[in-house]
Amino acid sequence: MLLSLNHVKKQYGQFALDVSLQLEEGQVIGLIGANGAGKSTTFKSILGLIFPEEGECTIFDKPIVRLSTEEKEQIGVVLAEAGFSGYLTVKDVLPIMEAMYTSFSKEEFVEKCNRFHIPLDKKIKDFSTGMKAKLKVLLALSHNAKLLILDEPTAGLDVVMREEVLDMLREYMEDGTKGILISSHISSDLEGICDELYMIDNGKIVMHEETDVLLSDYGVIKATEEQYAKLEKKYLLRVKKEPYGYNCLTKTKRYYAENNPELTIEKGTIDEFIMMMIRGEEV
Amino acid sequence: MKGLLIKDLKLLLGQKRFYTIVLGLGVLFMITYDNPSMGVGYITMLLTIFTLNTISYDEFDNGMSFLMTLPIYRKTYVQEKYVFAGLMAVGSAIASTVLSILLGTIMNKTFDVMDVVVTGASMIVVVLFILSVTLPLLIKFGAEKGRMAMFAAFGLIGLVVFVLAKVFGDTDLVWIDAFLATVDAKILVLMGVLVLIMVIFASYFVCVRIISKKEY
Repeated sequence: MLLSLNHVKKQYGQFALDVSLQLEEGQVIGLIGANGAGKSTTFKSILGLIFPEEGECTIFDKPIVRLSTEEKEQIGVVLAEAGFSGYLTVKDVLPIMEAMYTSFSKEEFVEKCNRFHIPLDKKIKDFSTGMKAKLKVLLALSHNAKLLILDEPTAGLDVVMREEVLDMLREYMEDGTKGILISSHISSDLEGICDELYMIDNGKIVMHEETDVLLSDYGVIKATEEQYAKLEKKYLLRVKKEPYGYNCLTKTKRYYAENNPELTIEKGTIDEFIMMMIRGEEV
Repeated sequence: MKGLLIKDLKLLLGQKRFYTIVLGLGVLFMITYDNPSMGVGYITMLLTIFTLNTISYDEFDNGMSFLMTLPIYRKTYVQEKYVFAGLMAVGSAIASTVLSILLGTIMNKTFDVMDVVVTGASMIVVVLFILSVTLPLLIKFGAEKGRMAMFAAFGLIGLVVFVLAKVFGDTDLVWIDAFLATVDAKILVLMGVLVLIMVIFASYFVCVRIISKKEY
């Protein structure tokens, strides 16, 4: 197991985190959630930046605080709001990375920086948001890590760049022994790359599903008041009152399509599912 | 450790314009003052104190949390600050002492070489002492709040000294005078070094305790 969280708990005033998730070799898992839902707190717990009060958090089957520096070399990290000091240039960062990671390849990294138009001589604080984001991803990918932990790696990137970054991640996954935990508020990014998705809200995982299942079996039923009254409620996950009636999230849209052919059932997007899971009410 | 040392060195080189001015002023002091010690003190002090500034640079844009995800132990971060400060203090003191002796000789100044050497050595002791007191505060409170804590701490030390001076001001501290008169300056430096080593160790252990509990 590359990464495992078992009821990792952390309390900040009213906010309480309680997260469990697993990542195995060859897997990409995504964490989606609104701002303040607990994504960054989860990442910080995984990386040992904060100390959970309860629960177990292991990387390579070891508690993170017990990882040796050699094992930490096997982790590539992108943090949403942090990187190398803005007072350094990429040229300054090169010898630092060389000293820290045995498998860092300077030539390859510089070549990638050139390809992605990242200036080597400019101080990082003067970079655009997109340039900073690209640099962070390239750094995480530069030392042949076994595990990537990427908090919002595509934030601030335009569509073309986002696709390029996602392609790099797909290429990284090709040998089947590595794994990625990635978060994004752009669900279409995650849709195309993740095997499984975890949805977090108010510190708790409210949904965990394989992406394929999510896209093939989940759906949103748009029902009028009468239709809703007659509807079998057993397979509804969430219901939300709308001006025309009800929006219902189901995990078995085929069942409803077969039994209620008059119903409008939309395939739905992951964003809609998130909205329903968070705003909707349990049946 | 090596990576962190390179990082701090690169941060220093990033400020080379400011430190060129510092060096220029230091040399100017060596030339204009009769006693070349002033320049030695100035250069050693400013270059070593840069160690404290590196913490601000590390913290810029939440940088500390990223640093802690790199393959280093938390205590290595602390160790590196002491090693960097030590290298800066010893390096700049030796370089500036040699330079001031050279300049003094070229300009035919009358000065005691040993005096300058002792000044250089004392500067190392003083500046590392200041760092040892300050580093735990900066690591605990962060560079911004830590600086306030640092002023408060030195203010407090100043106050204690002032009160002690008031209380004992009138008393004849003959024994201290007598003691100082008998002790060689070199022995004083040596005693200073011993006290300093103890202070550095205490400071280091406090820092490690702080950083291993700190959340980023």
